[in-house]
Amino acid sequence: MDDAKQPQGAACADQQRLIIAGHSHMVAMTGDMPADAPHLHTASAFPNVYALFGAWPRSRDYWSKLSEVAKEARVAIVWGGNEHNFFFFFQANQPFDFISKSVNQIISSFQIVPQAMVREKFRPHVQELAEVLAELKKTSIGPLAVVGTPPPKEGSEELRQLLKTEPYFVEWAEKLGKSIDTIKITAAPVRLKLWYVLQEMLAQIARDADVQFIPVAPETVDENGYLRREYWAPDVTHANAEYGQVMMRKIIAELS
Amino acid sequence: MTSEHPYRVAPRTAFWSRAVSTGWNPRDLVQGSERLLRPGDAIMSAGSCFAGNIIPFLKAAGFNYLQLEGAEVTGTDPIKDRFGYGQYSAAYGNIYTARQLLQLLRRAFGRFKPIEDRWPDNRRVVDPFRPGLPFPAESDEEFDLLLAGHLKQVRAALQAADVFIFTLGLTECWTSAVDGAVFPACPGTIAGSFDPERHVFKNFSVAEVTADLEAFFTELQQVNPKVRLILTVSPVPLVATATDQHVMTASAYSKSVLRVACEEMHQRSPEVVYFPAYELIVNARSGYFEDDYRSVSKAGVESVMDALFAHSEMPSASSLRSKADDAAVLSQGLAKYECEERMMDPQMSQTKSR
Repeated sequence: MDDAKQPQGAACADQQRLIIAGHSHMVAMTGDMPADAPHLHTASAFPNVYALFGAWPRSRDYWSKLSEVAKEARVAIVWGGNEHNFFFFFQANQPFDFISKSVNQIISSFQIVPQAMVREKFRPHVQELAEVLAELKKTSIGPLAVVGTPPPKEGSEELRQLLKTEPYFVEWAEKLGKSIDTIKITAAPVRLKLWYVLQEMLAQIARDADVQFIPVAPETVDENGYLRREYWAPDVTHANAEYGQVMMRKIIAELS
Repeated sequence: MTSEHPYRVAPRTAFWSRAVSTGWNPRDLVQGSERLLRPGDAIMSAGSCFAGNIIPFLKAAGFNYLQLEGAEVTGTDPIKDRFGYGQYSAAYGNIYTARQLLQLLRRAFGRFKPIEDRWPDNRRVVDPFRPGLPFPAESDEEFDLLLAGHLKQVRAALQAADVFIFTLGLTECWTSAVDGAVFPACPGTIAGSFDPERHVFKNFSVAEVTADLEAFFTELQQVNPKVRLILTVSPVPLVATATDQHVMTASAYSKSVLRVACEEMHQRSPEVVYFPAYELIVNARSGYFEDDYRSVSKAGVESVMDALFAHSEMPSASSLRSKADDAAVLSQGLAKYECEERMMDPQMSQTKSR
C-alpha cells in the first residue's frame, strides 16, 4: 500500500500503525527498498507495519517525509549501525584497542586509544539522529523508538569468504594493492567493543530526546556478544530477514 | 720566525663582510661534511612547538619518520590537537626542556615515576605531563592503560631511532616540589590547578641543561647504541616569563643558555651535532617572524628545511609513496558498497545464510 492508499480515517487507526524508517539495517525487517522518492509502503508479514522507503543516502526530504507521515503513528528508527565497519572493519596499520565496560579484554600488543576518541569518530555520523528526533517530536504524538543495530559477526575467516563473493570489492581492493586473502580484518573483540560504543551512543541520544531505545534482541546474540550465525545475511555487515522478524516482534511488543 | 695569522687562512664564512653582508647563503651555516639525515634512517624527534614544524617536511621528502602513536588510528582532528600529540614519534606532545626529555626517557624505562601523576577533574583524569590531550582518560583504569601504552611506544621509538632530533625550547619550567617532576606547562594553565606549595618555578642554568642533555644521551645510548643526536634551539621567543625580567630579556637568557648547552654537548661528545635552526631564523637578514614578532613564517621554516636537506642525503622519489592507511579506505569502501548493494538487491534481506 503506498501513500495514496493510506487509510485517512480515525486517529485510532493511526495509533495502531507502526512505521519503520532509517538506514540499511531496516531492510532485514522491512524487505526490499525501492530507492526513489520517500514514500510509505506496507512492510513484512506483520499487520499495520509500514516502511518508509526512499533514496539512498537518506536526505532531508526523507526525514521530512517521516515527520509528515508519523503524526499519531508509532515510529521505530533504525539509525546507521555500520559506523564500526565503515571506519574499522579492516585492521589499521597501527592496530588499536580501548577500554570497554562491555568487553573485558584488552589486546595489550595493540596501541591503546581513549574510548572518547572512538566516540568522536562516530559522533558526526550519529548526531543527526538527535536533530531528526527533535523534528519528529514536534509533530508526532505517538510513541517513538530508536532501534539497536546488529552486532558484528565473529569469524574473521568466514567474513573473508563472504568478502570473496563481492567481485566488485575484490577488484577494487586489488587496485589498491590489497589481496582479500591476506588483508587483516580488525580483531573481533575490538569490532565488538566498537559496536557497543555505537549502541551506547544511539541509546544516549534517544535518552536525551526522551525517546525509547530498543536494544538488539538477546536471542540474536551468541554467548560472546556476536550476531548468531543463523542471523547472518550473506555479506559482512548485515543481518538477515530472520533477524528482522525477531526484531520486528520485539519492536511491536515494546511499542504496544 | 713568523707565520700568517689565523684570519689570513680562515674560510670565507668566517668573515661577516663576505658571509653575511655579501655572499649570504643560509646553507653555509651548517658545518661539517657528515650527512645529517640519510634515506632509511628511522627519525625520532621531540621538542618545543617549533620542533613540530619539521615533521611534515621530513615525511613529504620521503624520510622514515617514526610515528608509533599517531593520529592515524582514528584521524584525530588536528585542530583539537593543539599541542602536537598526534604528530611526534609518540604522543608526548611538546617537550620544552632538557629535564622534561630526560624524565620522559626515565619514565619510559621505569626509572622515574612522578608522584603527582594524575589530575582528577570532574569525569576526566588528566595527565599532568600531557595536559592538552584532546581525549583525556575517563577513569583511573583507562588512565593507567593509556599511560602504560604511551610509555611503551616511547620506549619502542627510543630504541628504534637511528637519529633523534631534539629542539630545545625553554629554560623556564614548573616542577613538582616533591620529586622535581617537570610539567610541560604551569599547572592551572592548560589543566589542573596551581598550588604554590606543590608547584615550584625553575629556570635552568647552562650547567643544568648540559648535564641533562648529557644524561639523556648517555642513557639513550645504553638502550640504543646506534642512535645519533641532533640538537637545535627553537627560535621562538618565550610566550611569557615567570621571572621578574622583561619577556624579551628572559627570552635572550633562555635561548643563550640553550645555545651554549648545545655547544658544550658538541664539545664533550663530537658525535652530537648542532643544527643552527635558531641562527637561520634569528638573524639580521631573515625577516622570518610574523607580525607578532614571535611566530616563525612559512618561508622561515622552509629556509630551515632547505638547509637541513642540503646537508642530508635525500630519499629517492620512489620512497615518496603514500603512507595513508589503506585499511581505513577499504573499510569505508566496503561499508558503502554493502549498504548500496543492500538497497538495490532485495535478495540480500530475504536470503537466509548458510
